[in-house]
Amino acid sequence: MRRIKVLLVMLLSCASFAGLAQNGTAFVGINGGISLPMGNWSKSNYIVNTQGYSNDPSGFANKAGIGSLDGAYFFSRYIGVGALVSYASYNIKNLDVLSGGYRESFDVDQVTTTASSYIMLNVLAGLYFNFPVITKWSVTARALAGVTDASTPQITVDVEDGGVDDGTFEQKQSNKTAFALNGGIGIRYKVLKCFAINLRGDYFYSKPDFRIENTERHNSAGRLVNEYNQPLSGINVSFGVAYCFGCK
Amino acid sequence: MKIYISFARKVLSGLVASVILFTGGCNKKESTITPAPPSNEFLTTVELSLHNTADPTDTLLAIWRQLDPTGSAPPDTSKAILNLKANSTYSAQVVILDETQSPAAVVSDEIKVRENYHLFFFQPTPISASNLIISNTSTDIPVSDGTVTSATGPYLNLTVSRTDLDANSPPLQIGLTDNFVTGAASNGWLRVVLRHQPNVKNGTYDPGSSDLDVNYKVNIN
Repeated sequence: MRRIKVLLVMLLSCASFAGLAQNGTAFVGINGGISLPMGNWSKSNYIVNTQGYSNDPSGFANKAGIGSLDGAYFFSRYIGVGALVSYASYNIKNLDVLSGGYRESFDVDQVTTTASSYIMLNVLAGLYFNFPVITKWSVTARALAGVTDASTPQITVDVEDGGVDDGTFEQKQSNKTAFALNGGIGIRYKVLKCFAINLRGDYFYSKPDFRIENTERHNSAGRLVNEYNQPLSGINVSFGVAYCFGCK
Repeated sequence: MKIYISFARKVLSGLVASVILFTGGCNKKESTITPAPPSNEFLTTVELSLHNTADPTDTLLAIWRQLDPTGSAPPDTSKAILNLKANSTYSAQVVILDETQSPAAVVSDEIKVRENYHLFFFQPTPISASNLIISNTSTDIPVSDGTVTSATGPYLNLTVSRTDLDANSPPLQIGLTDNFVTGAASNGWLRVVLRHQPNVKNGTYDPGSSDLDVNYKVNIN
């Protein structure tokens, strides 16, 4: 069992092998890093509306840890085809801002807000590029397209005023699968004959049109998101290791 | 070579651990409690401004005032009196002020802005149990919150109905503007309560808490 685990880890643990790549070679890699959301998705506006609902585009997405597995086959010295599977979980940032907006919108003594995370699972395929620079060093690039299976956080807001608990309302978690793009560049350093380490930056983009259910919203006030159709985009900065098959 | 292999193992172990930590460890619920900042606004004064719809000269202003925000001193009720004509209809407006500020802040304007979760109730007493109507359009206050019904009377012949609607869907009443309809001559009290019902306003009295609770002497002649 232990041997199988070690073998699995070995198979899964590699990075962008581009530098190792040669005609007829292949690689598998594992990468870990940080994902930095951009645009409205990463904004955290303070929303107060006492006279109606506000469907604000702010996504409150915080930076996230990201993990990925990828692999490719190089049919020429510089170009290959490959695939990437990545997973990231984005916590809500500035939760106190979100909570404060609800508190002021309802003019209450206290609001308790609880939120889960955005989850993104990407499955992408496309072209991989490798450009050797100097001995052991290469510049790598990739351009991928595929799908993302994304979900929005569940947000629970409990309202209390005048010593009375006025109940809890919820923005339910919503799930959607959508077209996704990913592309970026990196550098790799060949540490062993078949191992390389890799540092890369990638831009990612998808735009799932989430339809979101809300429960227990009885009075028109505060932030209410029934639909979230904003780009989920950002930059991933990752470090990884790659194992090359057929390297010379 | 051994050094390289050892290095590679360490890097791999670190990567696997960091991927698990980054992606799995961060997937958790977060929670925050947001209390209100200290209030700098008080509901010191409640004015009922009434106009007889059939007699423009018949106007009234009844004032309940409590200038001590701590509430330790008794309120000034010397002007909290409504002298109404029998068998008449009055249009009424509720004005709430904060007279600790200079000039006085008009709190009722703020309540109008927050109309979707505020609701006024008006309870004439003495009232019979059969005339105490509890519904999502009635202005009456349930027995459970202090209304005392009388089996024998004499009763105060006053009926209050709200005339304004909020922006909820469907709209609910507010009570900043009202109609007061009097019957035969009688005397009693009018209790005015403002309910703050954040996200729970449904037209009834029970949800939420009270922002103010004041009484006026009523004489119908």
